[in-house]
Amino acid sequence: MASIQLTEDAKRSPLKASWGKTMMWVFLLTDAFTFASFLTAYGMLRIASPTWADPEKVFNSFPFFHGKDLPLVFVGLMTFILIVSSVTMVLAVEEGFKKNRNGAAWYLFLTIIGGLTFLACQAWEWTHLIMNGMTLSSNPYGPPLFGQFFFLITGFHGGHVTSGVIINIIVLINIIFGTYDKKGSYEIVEKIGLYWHFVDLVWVFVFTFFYLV
Amino acid sequence: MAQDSVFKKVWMPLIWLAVITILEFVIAFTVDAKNVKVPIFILMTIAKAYFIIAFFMHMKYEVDLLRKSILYPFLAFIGLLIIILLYEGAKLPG
Repeated sequence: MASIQLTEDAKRSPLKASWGKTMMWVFLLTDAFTFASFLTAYGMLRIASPTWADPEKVFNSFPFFHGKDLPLVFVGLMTFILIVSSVTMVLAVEEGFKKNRNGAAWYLFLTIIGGLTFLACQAWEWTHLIMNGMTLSSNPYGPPLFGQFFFLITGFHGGHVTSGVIINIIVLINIIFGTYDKKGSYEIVEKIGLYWHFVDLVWVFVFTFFYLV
Repeated sequence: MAQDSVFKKVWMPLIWLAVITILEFVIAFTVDAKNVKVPIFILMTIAKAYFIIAFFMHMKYEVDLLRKSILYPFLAFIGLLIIILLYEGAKLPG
């Protein structure tokens, strides 16, 4: 099985990739700049700040287990959900290479479910923290800066997941209606796959710098 | 073009990601010293990023030119940012 499928314009390109895919990589590069700026700004102000919140005390709750001290269990679940949705996306891309309409649609559907579950988890976590008094201006766990950066960066990441889910739904509708069979190429699945994996990649860094360090 | 099996492209990276994440949780609860913990976490994060970029995003199977034109600008930019901002951050009055 070919690992990468080359279209006609990709064969002529020095990068051996189609325009669309090259531009998706360039877009991801710029998006990585944005997230890198946010995270290094967070690091800078965290080093400058004399006190900081202890993540094991902030993120210690789980739905339906109120009052129990379960540090980092919920974020572990969220990480697991996002990685699994990344795997189903890889499988959708593989099915796309084989031009298997049902397989690509099924795995893309599972990816959408994973993305929506992740967003629901994040909505629950935000609601829980806001109800505990962690807002943009106040933070019972430590300096308000912690909450500001948390909501900025996880919010920006959540926005990316939301737009990824919307794009996935549009592509899924097109797969079901056979648009890519008429076109003869499922390359769009590979492109949205790149975007989806990028969102997972950002989460790996957010997870380390907010929840672990 | 590399012809790797589905196991190597999908399940092997998934196993690595799961193992590293579990180890991160173990370290988070057992090791207390910050200056030991933080470098380990950063190395593990970079390892996880490698598996996602190389296998899930197929970067390993792209031509060298595409790999370099994406990775080098990013490394230059992020390296500069980390050096400048973290150095300045340590000098800022709390």
